[in-house]
Amino acid sequence: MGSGASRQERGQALARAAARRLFDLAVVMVGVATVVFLLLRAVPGDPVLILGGLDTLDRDVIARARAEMGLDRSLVEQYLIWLGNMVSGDLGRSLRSGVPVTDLILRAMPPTFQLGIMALVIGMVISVPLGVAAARRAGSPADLGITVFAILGISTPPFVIALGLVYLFAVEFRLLPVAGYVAFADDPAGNLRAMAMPALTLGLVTGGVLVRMMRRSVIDELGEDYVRTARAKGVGETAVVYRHAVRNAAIPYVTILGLEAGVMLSGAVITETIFAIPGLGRLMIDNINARDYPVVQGTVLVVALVYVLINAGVDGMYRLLDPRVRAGAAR
Amino acid sequence: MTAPAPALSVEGLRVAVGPPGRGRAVVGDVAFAIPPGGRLAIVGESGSGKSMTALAVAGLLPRGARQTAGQIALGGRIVDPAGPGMARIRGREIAMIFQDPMSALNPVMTVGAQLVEAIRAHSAMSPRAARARAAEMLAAVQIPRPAERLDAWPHEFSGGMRQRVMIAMALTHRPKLLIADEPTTALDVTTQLQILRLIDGLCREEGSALMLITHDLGIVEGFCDSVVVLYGGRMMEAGPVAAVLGRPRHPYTRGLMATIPPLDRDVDWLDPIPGEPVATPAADAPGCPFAPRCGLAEARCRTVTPAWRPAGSKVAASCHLLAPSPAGGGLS
Ligand SMILES: Nc1ncnc2c1ncn2[C@@H]1O[C@H](COP(=O)(O)OP(=O)(O)OP(=O)(O)O)[C@@H](O)[C@H]1O
Ligand code: SF4
Ligand SMILES: [Mg+2]
Repeated sequence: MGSGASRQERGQALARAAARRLFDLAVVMVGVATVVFLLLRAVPGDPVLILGGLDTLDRDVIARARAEMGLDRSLVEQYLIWLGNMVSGDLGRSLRSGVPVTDLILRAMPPTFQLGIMALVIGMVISVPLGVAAARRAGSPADLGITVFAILGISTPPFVIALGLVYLFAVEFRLLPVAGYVAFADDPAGNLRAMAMPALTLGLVTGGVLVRMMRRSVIDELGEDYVRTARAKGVGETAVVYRHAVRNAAIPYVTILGLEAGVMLSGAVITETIFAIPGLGRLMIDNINARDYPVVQGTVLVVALVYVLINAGVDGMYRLLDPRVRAGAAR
Repeated sequence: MTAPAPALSVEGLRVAVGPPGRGRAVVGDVAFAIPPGGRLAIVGESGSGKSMTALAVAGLLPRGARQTAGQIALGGRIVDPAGPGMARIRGREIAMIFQDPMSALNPVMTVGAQLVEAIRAHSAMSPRAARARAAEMLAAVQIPRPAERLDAWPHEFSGGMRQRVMIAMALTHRPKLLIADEPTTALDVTTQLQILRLIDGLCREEGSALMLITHDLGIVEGFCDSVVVLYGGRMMEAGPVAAVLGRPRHPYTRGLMATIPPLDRDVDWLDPIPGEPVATPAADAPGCPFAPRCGLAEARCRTVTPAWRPAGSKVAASCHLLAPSPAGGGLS
């Protein structure tokens, strides 16, 4: 059990975990690419006809458009070309505007990521103190109140929360704009005002889930033997809760946090639509309606990539929080 | 001549589990005292209330369990184990180690950090000084290369080593009383004796009284000077080890002795205890708790709680057959 040997073992375990992660990433991306490719082509509706309007185009024009878009080739050819381009980072161009898909995505990413991060921060700021407070007083009226709040947050549809917030902050108190978006770089204060309600909408939903998780985990940890040991040592109750129980409860909490970060990406679709934020969710919805294959494909791929990265982030957090994981021991 | 105040005295202790009002008594009218530096064993089958008694004394009862009656005094001073002042007493005047060393240490804190926490809970030592002291403590419990081991995680230690760490933490502040709740049950046989010797030796050095919970009568004989026998949360018999084990009066104690390899004594009553201990009535129900399994039970045993009465020099027990009875045929 010399520390030198174990450090080397830990390095190897880390390298193995990283290699497995990369392999997973490749498999997931190819899988997602394939499924998206097939699904989009299974959906009825010809992009050229939708783009051009049924009556206005003659056959030659249509044929030329199809050739330009590569739609005249066989499915297998289209698939292979697309996979090849994807590997080289080329996601194609929008069928409608001709703008490179990567440009569209890069433009749509900042609002979505900002929204997701703000919402997660709000969710954490709500859930850690409330979850711990509820756990410490499990069964009390305060616990019941927090639980009701959390369940309301979970079970109210986001658009209802959004409308409620709009009514409160935009209509009643006229503190925030109803909808719209400004880039942070252009107008930081305006950006934060525009993002406040969307972030709060998602943050309340996620906060509800996280409060439940934190409460349950802290209650469980407070019943563990090591907590009794800490009390037996004469450690004060606040330190028992935070230094011991919460630190251990953080491990399952982070799992749910990762799931919620993923949920953010789909939650963004509704929220971005309600608040007119030009993010990935909007980009995807608009282009599904227009059958703009390359844009939808590209967006889904990027979302899948983000999911995988979130997972890797969660694994990283485990390593940070749990020495047993670092050692590569059974978990 | 006044005797020094006992390290621990317990009187009329009752513990109940479940919701207040509808709870079930699991410890009833337990009373004993341990003189400074004394060694008391608490024995009894699984579920007899040994842990509940110990946890009540330390104020560490689990959620859902509470002390409903009784007085506990440490060094002659009455304390409220469930009260807020107990955190200042635990770890300093009274310390405790538990049965399962695998789960008793925080898995995400280093061994050193947990030792330092124990030290600094009751002293204003600097972190650096506390760390040096922590290494000394690991050395005292015979962990090799102690300074290095401070940075180890609990999962890198064996069960025996973790129990050593627990002992080190418990004895840091030279408590007047160490409670050890089956400290070796989870360990393999060779480690058991080492750990018991360690506890024994360190308690002697620090002058700590020991309350040792076990169901191994061999351990009682080897390490303790007095013994309390519990059944169904109530005291069956208590007294000096030599007297109680040498000549058990109570049918339950006799049965308990029959469950271990025979000792070279004239115990002529060697049937293993029939019946399941789970059928135990609540610790405040009338009658003798052992009646459902006692081979000598009479009608009154089920309805009248036997009194706690002397049964020889310094020994006391609770059994109707120990009373001087007009029908004759008592046990003593
Ligand atoms: N957390 C708890 N909640 C409710 N009842 C409990 C709890 N822990 C123990 N009990 C009950 O209290 C009674 C006494 O249990 P206790 O743990 O004191 O027994 P023990 O003598 O220590 O047994 P063992 O040798 O198995 O450790 C048992 O009937 C048990 O079912
Ligand atoms: S009181 Fe009765 S039941 Fe209880 S131990 Fe004595 S004889 Fe047995
Ligand atoms: Mg026990």
